Amino acid sequence: MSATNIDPSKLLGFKLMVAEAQANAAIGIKSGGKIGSKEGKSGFKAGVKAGKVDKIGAMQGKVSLRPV
Amino acid sequence: MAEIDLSAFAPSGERAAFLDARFHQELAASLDHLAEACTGDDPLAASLAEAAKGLDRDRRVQPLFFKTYFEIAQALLDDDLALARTLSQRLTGLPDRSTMRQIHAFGDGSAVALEDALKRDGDVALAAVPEKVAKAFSALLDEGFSMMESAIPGLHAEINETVREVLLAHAPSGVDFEFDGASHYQFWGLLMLNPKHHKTPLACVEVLAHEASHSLLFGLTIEEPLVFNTDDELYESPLRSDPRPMDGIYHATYVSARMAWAMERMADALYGDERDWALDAARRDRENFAKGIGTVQRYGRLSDTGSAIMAAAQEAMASA
Repeated sequence: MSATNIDPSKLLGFKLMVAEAQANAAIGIKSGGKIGSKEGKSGFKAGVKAGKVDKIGAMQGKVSLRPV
Repeated sequence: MAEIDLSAFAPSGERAAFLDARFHQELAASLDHLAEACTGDDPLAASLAEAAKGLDRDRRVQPLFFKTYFEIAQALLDDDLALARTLSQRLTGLPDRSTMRQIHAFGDGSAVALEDALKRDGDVALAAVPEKVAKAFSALLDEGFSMMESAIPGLHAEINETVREVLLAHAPSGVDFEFDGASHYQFWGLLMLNPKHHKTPLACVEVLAHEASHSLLFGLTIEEPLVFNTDDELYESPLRSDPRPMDGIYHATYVSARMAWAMERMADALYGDERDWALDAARRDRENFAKGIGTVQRYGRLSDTGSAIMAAAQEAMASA
């Protein structure tokens, strides 16, 4: 098998990345390590292949910090 | 049964139970899809399908199960089949979540695999909590839950559904900033607290309102993110001194509103110094909301989901 069999828009969490990519592609945003330059699933897969897909803020930890 | 208003501001146990069930249903569908995609690797496909069983009904799993799913999905997207096989074996070996809320202390040996997963993730640096400190804080937390159940039963019910494990941890020594609480999309059901920064039951109520509101937002973020701003756009945060992506600003703003709401309701049920403390906390939380909402309105590119949830928070802050 390979990642080409996987549709990230069907995966919990990863579908957020696809939605973000689609929204940003629609308004023409292209940012360095992100995948907004290509629409939707194909852009996501291309990003994975190129090692450019990081988890987006929505999937990261929310950490409250206090100065020591 | 009446339809649940998912974007409503007031806490609700019924909505939280729905969100918990939906997160599990989404997990089941995702594992099934990964299993279908692994047609060339029957043992891996079988173990993923096995892991998904019952999740779309009433089976409930622990936060580490969710994190392991995310690691498997990433391994498969990276074409790392060996790692995916190792992780899937680990997944099928994990017991379902306990019916009682579990409280662990970092370093006490009760949650080693969870600690390892958090270290791999790297979003928050943690250190061990001495047994005596953990025991005392657990008692404080129990008192806080009791106060909340009496004064804000809706929030208590919501947290009962969305916070299934609590990990107590200290920050490592030598850092400039210490975490005081944390939660994570990929560890659904987990809340992390630093006992050093919450000294009274009422302070526990406030931090529980804070962290549980992050969990609520995670549960509401299934089909699209709250904001479409990219993560390299950084803005001033109402709650942190370091610039944050818009998703973090959105979270901080919403969480501040829920903290203010919770502290104002606690104040209604308290007297004397505790009432003063709650009102003072609510005033600070409202100030933070006011700072955050200005940034969200000016720079945020909100999804429909994000717009509906924040509109409800603004309405609640305006009417209280």
